[in-house]
Amino acid sequence: MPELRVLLKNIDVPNQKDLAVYEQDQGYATLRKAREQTPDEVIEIVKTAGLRGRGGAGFPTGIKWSFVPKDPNLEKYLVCNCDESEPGTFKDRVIIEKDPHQLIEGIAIASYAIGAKKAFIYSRGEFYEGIHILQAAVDEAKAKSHLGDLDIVVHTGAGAYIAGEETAQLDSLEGRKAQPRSKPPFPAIAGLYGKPTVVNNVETLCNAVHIVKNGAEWFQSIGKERNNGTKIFQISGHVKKPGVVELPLGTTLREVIFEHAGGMLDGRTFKAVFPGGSSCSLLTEKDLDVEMDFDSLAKLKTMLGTASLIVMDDSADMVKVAHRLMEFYQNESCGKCTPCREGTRWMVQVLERILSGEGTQSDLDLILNVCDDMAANSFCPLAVGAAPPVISSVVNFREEFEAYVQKNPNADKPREMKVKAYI
Amino acid sequence: MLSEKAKNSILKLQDKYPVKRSALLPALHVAQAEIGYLPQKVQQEVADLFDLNVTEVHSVVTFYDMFFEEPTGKHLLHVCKNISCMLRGSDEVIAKFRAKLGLKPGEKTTGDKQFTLVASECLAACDRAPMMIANDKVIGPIEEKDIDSIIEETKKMDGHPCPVPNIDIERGASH
Amino acid sequence: MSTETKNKQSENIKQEMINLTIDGQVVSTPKGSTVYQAAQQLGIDIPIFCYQDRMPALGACRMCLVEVEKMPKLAASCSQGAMEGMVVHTKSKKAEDGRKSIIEFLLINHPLDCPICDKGGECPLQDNTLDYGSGISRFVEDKRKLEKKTALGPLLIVDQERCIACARCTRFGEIVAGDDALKLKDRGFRTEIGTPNDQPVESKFIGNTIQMCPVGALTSQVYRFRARPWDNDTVESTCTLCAVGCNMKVDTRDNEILRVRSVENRDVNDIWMCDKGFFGYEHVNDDNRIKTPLIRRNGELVPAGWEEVLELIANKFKEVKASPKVGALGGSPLTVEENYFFQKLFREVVESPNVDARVGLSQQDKDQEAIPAGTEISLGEIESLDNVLVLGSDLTETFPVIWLRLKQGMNNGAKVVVTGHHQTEVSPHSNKEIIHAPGEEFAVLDQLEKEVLPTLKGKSALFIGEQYLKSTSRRKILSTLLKWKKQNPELSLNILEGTGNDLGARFAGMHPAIGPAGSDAKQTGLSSSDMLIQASKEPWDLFYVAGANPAAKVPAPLWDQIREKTKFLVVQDLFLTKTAEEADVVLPTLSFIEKGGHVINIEGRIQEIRAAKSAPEGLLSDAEIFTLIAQRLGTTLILDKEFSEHLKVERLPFKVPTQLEEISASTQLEEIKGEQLRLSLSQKLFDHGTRVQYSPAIEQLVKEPTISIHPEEAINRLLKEGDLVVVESEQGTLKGTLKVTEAVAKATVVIPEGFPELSVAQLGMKLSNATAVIVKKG
Repeated sequence: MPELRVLLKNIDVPNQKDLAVYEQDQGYATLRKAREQTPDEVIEIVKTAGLRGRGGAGFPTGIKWSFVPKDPNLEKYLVCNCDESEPGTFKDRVIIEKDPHQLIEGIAIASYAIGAKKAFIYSRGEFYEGIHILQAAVDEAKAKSHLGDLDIVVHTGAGAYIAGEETAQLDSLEGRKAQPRSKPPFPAIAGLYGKPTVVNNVETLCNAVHIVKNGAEWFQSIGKERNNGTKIFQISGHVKKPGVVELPLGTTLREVIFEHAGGMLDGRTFKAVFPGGSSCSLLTEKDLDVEMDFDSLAKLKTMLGTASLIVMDDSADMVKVAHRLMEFYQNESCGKCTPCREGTRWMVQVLERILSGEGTQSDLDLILNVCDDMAANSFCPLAVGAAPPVISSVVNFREEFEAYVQKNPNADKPREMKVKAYI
Repeated sequence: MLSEKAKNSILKLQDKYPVKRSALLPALHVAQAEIGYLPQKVQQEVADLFDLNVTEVHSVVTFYDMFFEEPTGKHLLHVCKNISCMLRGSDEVIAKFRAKLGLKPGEKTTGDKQFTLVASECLAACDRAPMMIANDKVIGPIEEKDIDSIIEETKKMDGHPCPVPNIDIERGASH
Repeated sequence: MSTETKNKQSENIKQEMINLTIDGQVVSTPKGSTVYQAAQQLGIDIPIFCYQDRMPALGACRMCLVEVEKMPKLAASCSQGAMEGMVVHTKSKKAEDGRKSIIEFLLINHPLDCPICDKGGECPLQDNTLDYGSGISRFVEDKRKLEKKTALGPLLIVDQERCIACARCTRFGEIVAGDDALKLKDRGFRTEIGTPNDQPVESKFIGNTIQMCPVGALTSQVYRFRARPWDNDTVESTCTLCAVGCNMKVDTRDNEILRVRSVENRDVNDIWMCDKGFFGYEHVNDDNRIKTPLIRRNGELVPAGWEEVLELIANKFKEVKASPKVGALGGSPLTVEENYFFQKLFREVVESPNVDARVGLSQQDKDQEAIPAGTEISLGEIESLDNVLVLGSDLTETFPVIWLRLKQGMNNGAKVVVTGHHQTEVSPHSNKEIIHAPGEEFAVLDQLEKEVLPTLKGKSALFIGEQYLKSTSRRKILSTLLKWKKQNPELSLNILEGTGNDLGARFAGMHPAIGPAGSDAKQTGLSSSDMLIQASKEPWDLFYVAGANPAAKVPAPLWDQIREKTKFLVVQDLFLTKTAEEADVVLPTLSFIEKGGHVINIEGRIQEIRAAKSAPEGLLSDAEIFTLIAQRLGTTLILDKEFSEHLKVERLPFKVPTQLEEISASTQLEEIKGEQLRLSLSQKLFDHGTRVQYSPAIEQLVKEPTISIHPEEAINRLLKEGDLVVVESEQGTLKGTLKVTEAVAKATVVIPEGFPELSVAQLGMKLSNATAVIVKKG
């Protein structure tokens, strides 16, 4: 199936980031159209379309918007989550660098729908170029009065994966450490500065433009039931053509990898893939025909996440992969809750030991158990995401772990405890 | 000491937000771009501009990866080590960079204070793996043969990159 | 149960209630409660670390996990809202396994150095491990190696390895004290507790964090390695180092005080105390305590026996009986009973009406004073106030725990307006602040009357502090405030001045115009300043000073005259104060930790102090000394029944007149001429008073006292920070170091009291806030 470019339609148009060029393809006409309707009507269209959040969790966007209280005296905020930090994910960067006005139009529509007069784009600080492009685009849109009374602030983060979690992002946007908040209250009721706030991903907001432009039915006609619309897949790792590709939800994993990403590097064979960024269980050869949508992947106990396919061929060392990812979560754990702070560190220590040839057979079950404990009882989704890539690596490629373990002459003996017992 | 320009830039940033504290991360970027890093006394200056206790600013500074409390080289090299880049050889790239820059184990900054090398987590350009950001410029895929020229090209850049747009500072004035 | 607690509970009854089941028991709990709170109602114990019920739940440590039916994951009961029909299991296998896992995670990097940890034996981590842990660990890696003894100032020591990042201490600084003293630094497993570059912690309340720490990460440098808690003997008592009267417990071993902790009293200090309370007891152990009576022989003070000195004093008393030139000074560190004996000894035995516990700056007569110190509301009510006007009070320096109660009030929504001659630690938290020169109080009150008074809704309080009270316009100021009260019946008047047991001394009758229990004195005596001024001019027969140091409170040349003209000077104290050094007889006495009795705090609450250790050998309490002297003169001092009855109430009534009659305006504000500035006297919690001076830990917290002026005034006088300057009043001069700060109002010079090295007393006996002075280069 050929690519179906909706959001990415104009990314290769020269100077698409300039307002004049954006306006040539009905730029900001949708925003004007939205403003001719009532905010509730706009929300209803997005609800009916069945748009699900593209940031990872897949929560229905229209429903999220409808949670915001209607009280006109209440200050409300829209926050665009552009803290793109999930390993393997790079779709938002493409949009803000190539077609920033599409996002700004989406932000303006969403802000109108929820009654926000102030919106923030929380960009990760490392998007030097994207931030400057966004700021220029906001300034241009403002100068040409597209934004009306909406004020959009382009905000720079400072390097923290956890700031992508919506409540941590709000704390970070308030100038604090990015640490997740308890829910409830949900941001739609008490978010930024305690005011009703919607946090939406870049891709989600861009989708809103096209839904309002083309109608809910059009959106429903793409993809599958409950999994409507296109999705920007990002493919990285051992493929010939890493990059972004926009396809209807439900396209098979095989097609994404082997048609759109050019298949595996020459002379190599497919081994495994993380289908939705690093925070999910990997899939193997037998799963290649899964349809890439929220529900189909959930059935395989993994997830669509950010639809970032990290593809591995037969050269990938799964112990190193597991170690590298756990080290990532360890480095990015905010430290607030016990299981995540301690568990990620512990698991890195065990994986390092296995890599150095000092692993024992019992370490493998320990990894599975501790990862379970960590994910089950943590405060926020970070540790919930840290466990599956490692668990699925051990489960699917146990023999690779065992091969490392066997380098240890004492592999079958339980390692002597530094502290045997504390009572 | 922060220049008056930088302080004014920070005050302007504060005006963009309903609550001025929201401008803290951008303000720290501004201060860091000007001074090159965030020593205690600069953190105190920023704290004063926000009516915050320096303990609070310090706790924020230490939380985020992009802030440095110790002097860095003029140029920042963030080479991604996360999974997509690792699969495409980032470990070797990082090792090569370290060798070319003459960094001893544990060292991050070159003796001539020109470069600081950080093996970084995912920088969201995995299509270009193995990739890096040299100051504010995304580079990738990196091939081993390119490393010399990357270093040379980076030397020509301004250094101390600042992600916050439209600010007025005296870059490196106090460095 | 106190009235306030009862009120809170009855409020709850009006609330909507919900029912849930916990471990098979149905409980009805107010809507908005958490599962943890509901379980507590049932007496079901759920382990906690990060949760501390004076702060909102954080949900971080995950120790309090419980199983809730129909929820996919275990819930943190501290932050999980209780909901109608919810079925909770705290003891199911799933819940127990979850908690075992949390204990395992917490212990993997915890050093388990319990044998040398001060917290051992009273450690929630130990207790929860025993009760909820699995007993074994699967962790075979290396534990974190971190700094184990970082001193953050003289009080606190941090062991990073033991920290479990529960954030109790950091949140205490953010939420309760508002001082941001400690922070969690870095992130993830690298998280550490501390300050930037391990600089000394800036706080007056750090002892609370030591007490709240659920592990041995924060320990006290003073208590470190000195005891195991189970070996300590504990006595509950009351702190008398300021007039808040925090409830405390004193831990001793082998008759040595090892530490002081706070005791919960919702009506007074809640669960808090300040660092002066936590560590200011050290002077009791100090070796400089006077150990025997001293008598002056050949110009030297030499040890003497009790018999001899008591006999000498008794004989002197006989000689000076009914002389008008006899005075009794002091009483603030003494109990109510001791003060009662003190005044009785003088009024009835020596037959002198000159008794006064107030030693220091000029004392206002009853008319000027208009309303004495005291509070209409109880301290416990502060947390439920809607509005507070803090007028000229430096709360953290004078009534530190009142600030903590007020901060909690602010957390509950109270709006706070602050006025005064300089900014304070409360300033950054206030909703509105007016900084003004001394003497401008009426303009400020006018402004408040127009802008703030009409906006006050709900329970409101006026906290009036020493900046306004030590003013010649005190009566007029209070009169204005009474007018406000008439307009707004929900506005309470609270007069915050004094320290220690000042209220108790006054209630006992150590006041020249007031007898025991507020009666009028049969014969009005001289105030302490009048006595001292008179004694500086003409021969004076006898001064008996107990727990006061007049020599440090009057200009030095004046004291020299007083001493020269005073024929017999008796000083009763713990230490050889400046006054004691010049006495004819010095009587060593007991500290508040070595004796029993009653004290009265700023809200008029009558509280007990109890001896936590026995008296040092050969020492007598003030009460015993007074009794023995009286005996020698044929009088038995007893607490008369009627007076004892008065001590049985919870709080003395605080009588606020409905209005104050105008009295002749002898209190005109001095005109400012030319270069003059107006004086404002400030107070410091950590000053160089006798008790701090001999408490080595908190003594290190004392900051060098300075003479502070606004930058504009400095420029006008060509002065700069750090200059040596001279302050001149009509009556004297004072040299000191200049501080230039925008925190001080223009046209104002702020000088702290309580520092012998910068003795503001040198400026004269009749100082008040607004006295005109000149500041110039020294």
